[in-house]
Amino acid sequence: MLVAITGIGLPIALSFILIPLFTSLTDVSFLTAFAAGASLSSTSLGTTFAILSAAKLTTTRLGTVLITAAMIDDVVGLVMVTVIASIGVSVDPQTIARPIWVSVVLLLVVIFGSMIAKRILNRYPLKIPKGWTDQFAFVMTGTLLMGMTAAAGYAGTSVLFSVYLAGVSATYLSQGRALECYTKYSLLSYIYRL
Amino acid sequence: MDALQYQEPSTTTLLILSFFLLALHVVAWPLDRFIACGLLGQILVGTIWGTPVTSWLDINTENVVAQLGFIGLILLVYEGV
Repeated sequence: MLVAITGIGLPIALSFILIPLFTSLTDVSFLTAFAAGASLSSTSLGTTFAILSAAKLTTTRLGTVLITAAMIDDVVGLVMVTVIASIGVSVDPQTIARPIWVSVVLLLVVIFGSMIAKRILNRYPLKIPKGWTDQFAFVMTGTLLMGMTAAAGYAGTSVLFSVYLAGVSATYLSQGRALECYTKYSLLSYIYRL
Repeated sequence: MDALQYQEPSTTTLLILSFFLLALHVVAWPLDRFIACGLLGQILVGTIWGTPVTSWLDINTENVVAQLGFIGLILLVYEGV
């Protein structure tokens, strides 16, 4: 959490320092400094994941902290985009608050939903014929991903955040007896094989 | 025009596109192995093939590659790797 807040706050704070430094040269207004700081504070999720997986840091604590901070920064970046785009124009508070509360609600729904699903599936495990595990996992992963993308995209939060939550809940559900066949299916390797 | 007219791509297009895909992999592998940042090489490849530098790929192809790349990012984030 601290990493995420520092990642967002520090560039914006640093860009405000530009004002007293450069006021002798040009007129730097607060708005300009804020816009510059906000554009510099975004974290690229793709770069984070690619470098962490190449350096094999994903299972360590450092990797987890960095990934979580990147997720939070992604949601904040989404809010920043709407803020900057609507600064001169009239500001509708609904457009700014929407990604935040939709993300919080999504987090709660996924957490409680997967706990409930695990309890139910522990009682009544799904029976899948032996040879069909691969296909079943593919279809389930595909539908889950497309559903989460659609839900997040139309509800107004960040798509990558919802897909990350889906991945975490899939790992959670695949442990134990709940949904043994539903090991987290690597769609990437399947697509490469195609 | 009602439908997309099917044309076999010209030799130039085929060579440029396949060279692009191969270069992405070839540049990423040694960088990944030794300094764990194959991504930088891939970004460089994309920049060279793209609009300001050489424009070997036209703007529609660049758009499609970017969109496919976002789908790949979704899959990467899902896997958690």
